[in-house]
Amino acid sequence: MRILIAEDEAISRRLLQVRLGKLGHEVVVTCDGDEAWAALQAPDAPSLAVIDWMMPGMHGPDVCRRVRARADGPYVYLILLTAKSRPEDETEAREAGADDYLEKPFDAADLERRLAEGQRVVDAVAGGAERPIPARASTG
Amino acid sequence: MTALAAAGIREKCLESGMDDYVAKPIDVAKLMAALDRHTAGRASSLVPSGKDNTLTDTPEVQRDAMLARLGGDESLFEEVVDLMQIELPRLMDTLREAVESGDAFRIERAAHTLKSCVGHLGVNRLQALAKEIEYMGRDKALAGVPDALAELTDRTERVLDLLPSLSMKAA
Repeated sequence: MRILIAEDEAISRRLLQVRLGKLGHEVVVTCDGDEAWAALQAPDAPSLAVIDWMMPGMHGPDVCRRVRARADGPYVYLILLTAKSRPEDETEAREAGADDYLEKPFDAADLERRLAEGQRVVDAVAGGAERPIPARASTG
Repeated sequence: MTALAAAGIREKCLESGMDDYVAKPIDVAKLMAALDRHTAGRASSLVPSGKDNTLTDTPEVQRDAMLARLGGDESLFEEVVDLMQIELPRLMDTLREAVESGDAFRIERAAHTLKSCVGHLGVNRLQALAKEIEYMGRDKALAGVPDALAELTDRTERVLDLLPSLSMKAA
């Protein structure tokens, strides 16, 4: 499937590109949040995106929020990547609308499993299933 | 995970579709054992040993560890070593410029990217130093930055001296 990656750090970006390519995916590579958002608005935008948290321009969670704010836009499964590791970060990721959250450095097999889960959801939505609502942190 | 450690709970958990069962309070060894059961032993290998591994003494060992993290892909390894020799000096320059500017936000961002980059090397001390500087920037408490930057510079130079020897092309 077509997968967008947004990562400003060159080595991580290259590793993601190579890994996803080897798994047989077509990879759309972007280097910051603004480029990622532009690519997600393109007519042939990927329906799965792996987005780094801290980037120049728009941060990852901002991109997620913009995607989720499009009520009638095409569905995108969002995986946020982060080298941050504070407990509140996962809460923020979920609240921004990310479907999944992955800490760097990540294990290739772990990434593969999460992509498979994303693909399952994307396929289900394409087949007419209801769009999943990302889990919100409990406010109680 | 459950705080209900009574008999029969394990069976109930498994019956309801859980793959495993760990009682709270959490015993780290038991939790890791449970994770290992379901990840073919990978979970415990992800736990940092706490050892300050460096590139200085055993480039071969370091190379093997890096190669393992890249799934044994040797051409990708070569590419990462090449990219590292370009990116590491560039990101250090960006960090030094940020430190000279005294702008806490720039320092945080530059150190963050550097931290991501050196993470690929698996050299704990380098990553820890970059993280320290990142957090000093985030907290706008820059007093410790010069010392941390000096050590980071020194260690980065040593890594850059050694990187070419990690390449198979050099062997």
